[in-house]
Amino acid sequence: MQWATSSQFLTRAAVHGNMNPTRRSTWADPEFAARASEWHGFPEVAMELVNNLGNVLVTPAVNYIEVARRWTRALRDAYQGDEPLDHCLAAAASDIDRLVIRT
Amino acid sequence: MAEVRFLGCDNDVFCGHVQARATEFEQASGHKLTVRLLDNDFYYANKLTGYLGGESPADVYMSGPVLVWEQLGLGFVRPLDEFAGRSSFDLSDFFDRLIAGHRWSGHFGDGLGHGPLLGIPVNWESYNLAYLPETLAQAGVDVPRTWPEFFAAAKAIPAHVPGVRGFGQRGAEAWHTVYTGFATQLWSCGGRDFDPGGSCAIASAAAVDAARTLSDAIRVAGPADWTSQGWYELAMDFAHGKYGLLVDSDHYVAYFENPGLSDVAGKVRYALPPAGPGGVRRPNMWMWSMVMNARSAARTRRGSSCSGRPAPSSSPARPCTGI
Repeated sequence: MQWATSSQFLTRAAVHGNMNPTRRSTWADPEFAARASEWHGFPEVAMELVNNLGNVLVTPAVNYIEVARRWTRALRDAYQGDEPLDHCLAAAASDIDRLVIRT
Repeated sequence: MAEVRFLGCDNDVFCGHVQARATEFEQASGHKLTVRLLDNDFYYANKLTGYLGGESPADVYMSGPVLVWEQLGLGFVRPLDEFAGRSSFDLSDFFDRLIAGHRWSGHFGDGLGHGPLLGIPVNWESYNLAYLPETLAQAGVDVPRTWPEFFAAAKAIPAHVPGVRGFGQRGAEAWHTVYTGFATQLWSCGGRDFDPGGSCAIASAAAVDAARTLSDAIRVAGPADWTSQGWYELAMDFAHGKYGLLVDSDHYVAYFENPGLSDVAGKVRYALPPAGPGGVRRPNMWMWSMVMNARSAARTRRGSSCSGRPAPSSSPARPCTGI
């Protein structure tokens, strides 16, 4: 794990397309920085996201995958016209309140 | 020679890089590295018990927020604090938010940022606005700064630019469909998944309004095959100029700017995602991370301990974390 998360390994991986780099040293690497500078606005936006704006927004739960799947199904059902959107979401919310593990 | 088993998925740059450099690890550590890559869609469904448990479990595996929470509940996560605290790990080199996003107590209602370290991030994504200026110009619209502007601009594109849809959006039957662009829109517009009391809030007025705005816009300007759009299809369609706007994973830049994969390399511009009322921007975030399996047998297999085992004389010295 230490080998595959080292600065050396991750910087080489980033140059080969492993985005976005998690180490500050990779963003400072001359080869990577030169490449990223050609992507119009990307590095500046990425730094704002990783330093100031981005967060894992969803509420951690050990079975959040089930929560998200039920939520997704409601959006898809509504889109496909099975039922009105607010009904689909209300039914999903009721299901999620029952299924989410609150431990 | 001990064996270290790595589990990941195909169609992934990081996992491919691990596989390609396995010999380097073996020469440096004196251990055999076995890399097993599963189908990408299967992997993200997170049904990995057969690979993380049993007689020959993976020692380290790929995961990330949402996925690792489930694996923690199943007993497949070994906290990494004892390893990551070593100076050789240089944890301070990682962006603070990425490390904080991997700390969790395991209890519903507890936020991230506190508790044991569940993984080490190897890449991350947040959700920026990628757009094609030429397409926006043809449609006669400016770069959208707010979500109402975003959907208005998106709707103008198919009306003025033949063969191009307004915006890309995931719609496949997968958990991450709600995670990327939609969550960024929803939270920025005042919605959320659970209220502070722990009750599901996806049917709140703000959440219904955000979902209705999105659903209506998809019909007019989104993917014609929205319900089959996964992340890869979405990225490739944008890379082939099929949309003018996209709020989704910013790591797609690796595809968009690769002339071998993209028709729009050099033509894409990147901006912050649109803001909600009052200028609020709340982009979601995700990380792809290495996790140590609590069921790993590596520490008990013969010769697997790094301590006291010299590296082969022909290999460079490399500190080992014990896996």
